[in-house]
Amino acid sequence: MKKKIDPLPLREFLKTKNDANDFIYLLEKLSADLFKKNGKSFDKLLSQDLSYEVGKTLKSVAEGTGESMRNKQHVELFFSHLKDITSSLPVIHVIVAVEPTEKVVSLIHNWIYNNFKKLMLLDITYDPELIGGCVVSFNGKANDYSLKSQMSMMRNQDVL
Amino acid sequence: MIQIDSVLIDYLFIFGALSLLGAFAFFIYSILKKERDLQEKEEKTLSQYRNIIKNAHRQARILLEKTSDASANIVHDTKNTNEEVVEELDHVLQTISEKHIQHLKETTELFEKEYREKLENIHKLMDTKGSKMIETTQEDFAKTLQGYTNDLLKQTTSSQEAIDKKIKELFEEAEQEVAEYKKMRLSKIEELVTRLLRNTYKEVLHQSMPESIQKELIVKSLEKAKEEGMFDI
Repeated sequence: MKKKIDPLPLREFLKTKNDANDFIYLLEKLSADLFKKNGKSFDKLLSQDLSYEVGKTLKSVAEGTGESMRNKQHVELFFSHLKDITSSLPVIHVIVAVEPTEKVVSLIHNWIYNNFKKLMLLDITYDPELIGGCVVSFNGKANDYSLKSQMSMMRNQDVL
Repeated sequence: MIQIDSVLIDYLFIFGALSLLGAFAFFIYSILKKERDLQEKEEKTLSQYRNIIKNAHRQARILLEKTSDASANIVHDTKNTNEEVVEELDHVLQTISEKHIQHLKETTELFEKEYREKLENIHKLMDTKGSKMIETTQEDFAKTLQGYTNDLLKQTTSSQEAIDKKIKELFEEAEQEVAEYKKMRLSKIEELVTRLLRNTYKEVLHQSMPESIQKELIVKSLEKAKEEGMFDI
């Protein structure tokens, strides 16, 4: 690759760890389709096998590499690099007190992007006992910022 | 010569045979004779035995008859004698019993007389002693009762004091236990109420908290995590 792949444009559909796993599976499928008999070209693969948004974003990322995607070897290499980048993205584990709807996931994901300008994946789970707030664990560190934890602290200080 | 010899031998043989036959016949005759003599002797002895036995039987019969007569006489005499003896014995016994009855009667009368006298004496004595004894007993009883009452009073007083003391101790102990129990129960109730309140406001908060506030809390948590360097690599 002439230039490094910048995964930031992928952030719209790479928000959670599950998204990343699905994306890796998709890349593997595209690589396999590429070398089939009467295999499709890169453009056809993107336009026919992927959604418009994903196809458009992948095309933009591929263009950013400066390589021609007419060459199937280049396309395969692109997919392979992209797969490696995706699987090595940092994962933040977050436990929230509400069900992790798309809005909640987007909220956290956007906050992370706005604050660090990096693509990070979320591994979100749900625990209503937390009442509000969340528990964050990243890179071997974990801390509880939930209302439950705060109430517990207050109870220990005889405030509650 | 030879012929003469053989005739002689024959004669000699016949003579010998006849001699032997004669000897044998004599022998048989002598045996039979001895046996006949023996039999005659036995028969004689047997007839003598028979005579002796016959005599013995006759004498025995005579003796038996005499004895029987004598026995009958004795029995008759004895019966008469017995009747006489019984009559005499009855008479003697009657006399003895009459004498005994008389003696018993006299003795009983005497005993009764003495007994009555003694009884009267005892009665008199008992009357005198009884009055004295009753007086003494009443005095003793009154004294004992007084002593017992005094002891009882003393003991009651000391017991009352001990009981009061014990009651006071028990009361204090009970008061302390009640206070501790009250404290413990209050603490448990307080804990229960706190837990109930906590659970209630947890539930209420969780259910009634609007989405906007939940989001705000999440963002605040993330900001705090950032401040604390949670996302530093």
